[in-house]
Amino acid sequence: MWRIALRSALRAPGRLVLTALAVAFPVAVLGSTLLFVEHAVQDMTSQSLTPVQVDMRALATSLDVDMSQVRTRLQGVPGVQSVDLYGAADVIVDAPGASTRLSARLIAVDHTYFEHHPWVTAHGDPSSGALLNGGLADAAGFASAKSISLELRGAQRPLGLEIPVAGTADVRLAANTWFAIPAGDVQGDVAVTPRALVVDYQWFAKNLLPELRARYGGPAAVTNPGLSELPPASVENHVTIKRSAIPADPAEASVASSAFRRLLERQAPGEILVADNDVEPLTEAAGDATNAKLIFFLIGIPGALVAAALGLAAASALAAAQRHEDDILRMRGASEGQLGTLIVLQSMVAGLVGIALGLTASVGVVSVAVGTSAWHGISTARLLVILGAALLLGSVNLSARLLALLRVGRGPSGASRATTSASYRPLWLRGRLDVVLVFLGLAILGVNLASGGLRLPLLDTDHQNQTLALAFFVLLAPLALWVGLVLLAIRGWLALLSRRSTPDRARQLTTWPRTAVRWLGRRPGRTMVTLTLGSLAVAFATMVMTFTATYQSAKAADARAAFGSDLRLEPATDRPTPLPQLGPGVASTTPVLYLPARAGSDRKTIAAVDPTTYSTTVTTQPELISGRGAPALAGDPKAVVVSEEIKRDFDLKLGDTLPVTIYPDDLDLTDKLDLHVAGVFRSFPPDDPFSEMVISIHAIQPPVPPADMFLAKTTNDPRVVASRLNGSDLAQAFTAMTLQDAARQRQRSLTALSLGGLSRIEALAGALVAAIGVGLLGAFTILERRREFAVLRMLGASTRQILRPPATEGTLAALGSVVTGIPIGVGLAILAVRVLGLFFTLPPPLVLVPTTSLLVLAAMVLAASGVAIAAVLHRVSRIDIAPLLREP
Amino acid sequence: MEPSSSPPEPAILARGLTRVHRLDRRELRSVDDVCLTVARGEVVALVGPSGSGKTSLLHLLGGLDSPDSGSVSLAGTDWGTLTADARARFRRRTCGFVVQGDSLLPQATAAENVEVPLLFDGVPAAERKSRVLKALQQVGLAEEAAKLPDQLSVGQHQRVALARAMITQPAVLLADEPTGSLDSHNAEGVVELMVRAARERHMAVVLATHSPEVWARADRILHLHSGRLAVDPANEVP
Repeated sequence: MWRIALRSALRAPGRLVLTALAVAFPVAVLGSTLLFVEHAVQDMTSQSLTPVQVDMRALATSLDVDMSQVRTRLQGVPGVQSVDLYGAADVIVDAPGASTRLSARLIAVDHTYFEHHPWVTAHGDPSSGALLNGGLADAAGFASAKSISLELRGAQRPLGLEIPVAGTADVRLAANTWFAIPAGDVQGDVAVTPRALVVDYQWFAKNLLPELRARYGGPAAVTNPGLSELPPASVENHVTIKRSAIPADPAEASVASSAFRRLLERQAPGEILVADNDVEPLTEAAGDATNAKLIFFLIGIPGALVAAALGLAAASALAAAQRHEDDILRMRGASEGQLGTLIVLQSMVAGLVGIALGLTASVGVVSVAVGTSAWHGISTARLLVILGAALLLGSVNLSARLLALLRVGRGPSGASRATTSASYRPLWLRGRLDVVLVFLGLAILGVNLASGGLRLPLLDTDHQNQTLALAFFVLLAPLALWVGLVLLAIRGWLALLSRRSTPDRARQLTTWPRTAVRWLGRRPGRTMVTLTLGSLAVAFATMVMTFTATYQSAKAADARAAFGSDLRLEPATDRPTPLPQLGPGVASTTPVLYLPARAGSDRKTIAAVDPTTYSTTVTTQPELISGRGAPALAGDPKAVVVSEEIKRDFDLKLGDTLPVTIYPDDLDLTDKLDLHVAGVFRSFPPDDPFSEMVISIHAIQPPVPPADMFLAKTTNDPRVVASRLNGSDLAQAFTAMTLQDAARQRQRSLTALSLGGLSRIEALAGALVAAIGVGLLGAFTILERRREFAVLRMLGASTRQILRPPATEGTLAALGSVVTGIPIGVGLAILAVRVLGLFFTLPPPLVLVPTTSLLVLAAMVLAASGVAIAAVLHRVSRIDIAPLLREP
Repeated sequence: MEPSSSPPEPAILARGLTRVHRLDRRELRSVDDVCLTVARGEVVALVGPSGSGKTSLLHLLGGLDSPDSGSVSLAGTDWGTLTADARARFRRRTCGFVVQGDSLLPQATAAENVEVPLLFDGVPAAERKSRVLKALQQVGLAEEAAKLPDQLSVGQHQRVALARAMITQPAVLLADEPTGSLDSHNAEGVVELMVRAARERHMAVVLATHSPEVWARADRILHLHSGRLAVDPANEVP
């Protein structure tokens, strides 16, 4: 039977190919979507870990623990790339000639540390002495000191410990590790101390550690869960994990990271606590990956659905041809069972070919879109899941086709009758599925709106909000509205055609083209199926393209707000100098300072700006929820504009007093400020780095510390100005950065997602679905109306007159798909875009209609449909009428 | 070109008509060296067993098929000299056709079915209206004008088809088994319509039929066997 099935399938290669393509198309759309999603998500792990400087910090539970021995044990753990010794302590520093002693943070590292952690710029060899940071080196009396002396804060007796000065170290980029609270409830909060020195770990272990043990003894401060300051002394191992040992999927990586932390702790039970710096960004990335998958499914699932529907429509066309073949086989004595088996086997042959074709196409398309092999970096298990999903869709599609074939084998197909007869009343029309779906979609939106919109008050984290909103709001409502609105539009088309085509004695034929439209209204089935498929496809492609355009626009606006202005000038060293004149091309500059602060028991960052120059220099003005922004700061030196989060956490109202302590970890600079809440912001550029509060620079007691950066507004291309500045003497003191430079640096994994590739794939699929739908309509036309064409020829119709009705129907289907699909797609995009508000700091625009892209889409649909129509008309014009007129 | 404008010329003139069908490697001559002349106003019955080539001959006479050899002229015009579109134009003005089985356009009402050839020919709307009404009245279906084919009986179908074939007042009417699916009452009515048209409008009528009742109304009966006509002096080419 297999041989017979294979032979009969090969004898009708056109039907085999069409069946295979009907299965291949949805498989390709689903497969490429899933593969693309996997690729996008795989990048999130590495992207989220990029800012992490030290993966794991093994903290000694007691200063008595020998961390050299612990390091040897940790180095033996599979997956560990390197382990470096690290020690830190609060010290009092003095220099011969200095007028006053200063507090500072002493950091001790071994000689390999800088190789493994290149984010510290050292000028000098720590094994020869201490390297001073800018804050210490610039202090009065320290600049020319050959050596410095160290004491412990609050010690009973002087240490008398001296160490030569061996150079300088710029430790600004080390803040997230060296000045981050290593354990406890506020783990990761940064406690910046302006003065620091770096020494060799061996010197530290020999000369200072015994004193620290004597001074602090017993359990180390890191074991205190309520730790809210940098521990006065700690010894640690900084562990770097091989990136190859971290799973590519962020959710899996997050779980693996926690397991790895426990594995490290088991190497020295009781002696160390391991702080996992990877788990938080990985958890956030895992949440982002979930959201990304939902976004991609929003984009991809409708494509797979409409492609599957197209496959079923194709199956219906093939079923009629199959019936003819079955009749011949019946006449030759084949039983119903044998016919059924033959159909199943033939379908399996075509289905297997189709699934293979679909998977090959999806791998090819994704490889082109991502610029590397589609399976690169994806685990075998994930690939198997994708393969399984594609196989399942292919099998479901094949099963539906089989059912249609077997049903046709027992008599005329109901579906076929329904679409060809004059009284076209499909099930969805009778059951009012369009109205039900539109109502369902609106009801979901209504419930969502009534329960607080996208930020449900019942949920306490943004992450949950996003997942919930994406799952129910973005996915379900637009899907229901997508299908419902398209079917509603088809109902409208049907009503319109019906009004113009009701048989009426008084209504005479006018012209042949109008006659073609009138007759279409009396048998709209096939055209309406095509129009439905085409409209669904065009609406879906429009939604994807519009959503993507709005997403890109919101992303660009967010990036501009994060950057703040045309240029940033950041000090090239940690020993800042005043900003000199920048010359031509720069219209204005404004300084920005980031002040460590404490509000209540929370550590916060305050941005201090100069209100007089701020507004004229930033390119994106602050987005305020209430109150006023920069003008308020200009009018009141004690005014503060707070973030939404601060307003909520501290239950603040406009006019409230908010006491804060700036420089809480620096005995010399610390100051208490009573600030007045003047406004609440959603965005106060520059948003990166983020600060929870913004004050005027004039609120700080002189001497005002040097600016952390300057924003500059340019009068011509910022890239040209930046290039000029970086090539001038200014480069020794400042580095000029453009928006493009900053965009290459850290951004949140979800907003870094590139939807462009998938958007192009899905738009192409949408256009193809519409065009293939028109082609199918043509196939049905040739199959079902050959005798009618022969009769028209017999009545004296010219070739042009014969071709008019199929051309009219094809054109109406193609044009109708565009006219129906594009407005519905734009409307759906407006809904889908609402969720973007969760991912961006600035609210996204209502919708950004990508006019050119949509015109290209419409042109693609019409051109591809035109090709299909032309092929059909060519076939119709070559029909041999004599044999057809013999048929009963 | 008008049927009434060239009375001396035969309505149909066929010479050495041959049509060969190739099935696998065999050749089947459905029409074999047929010569035929039909005068205006003459009713000719084409008889013969099934498969004898009656339908093939009608298709060749009506220009729906092309002969492998030989020629056919209708009202003095040789089908072989016309392009596809010129044939269509010539056919709708010169040759009415009633094919075997149902040939009505299923999406068109009875009136629209009859009106279509006039629409193709660019006849003004007012004239079309009156001619369609008259044609339907002649076949007794004026009341059914707005009905779709699936609302009409088989006999009514055949009468609409006949009205449609005669609406352009052609010089020639070709009918393939026009009474094949009709009861005797309906059959008689349909044949009467054709004979009356032949007499009143000088229309040449060629009927392929198995029905002895139809033979009885014909002026001449031609026997076809295996694609060849039995010898008939009237078929001699002048």
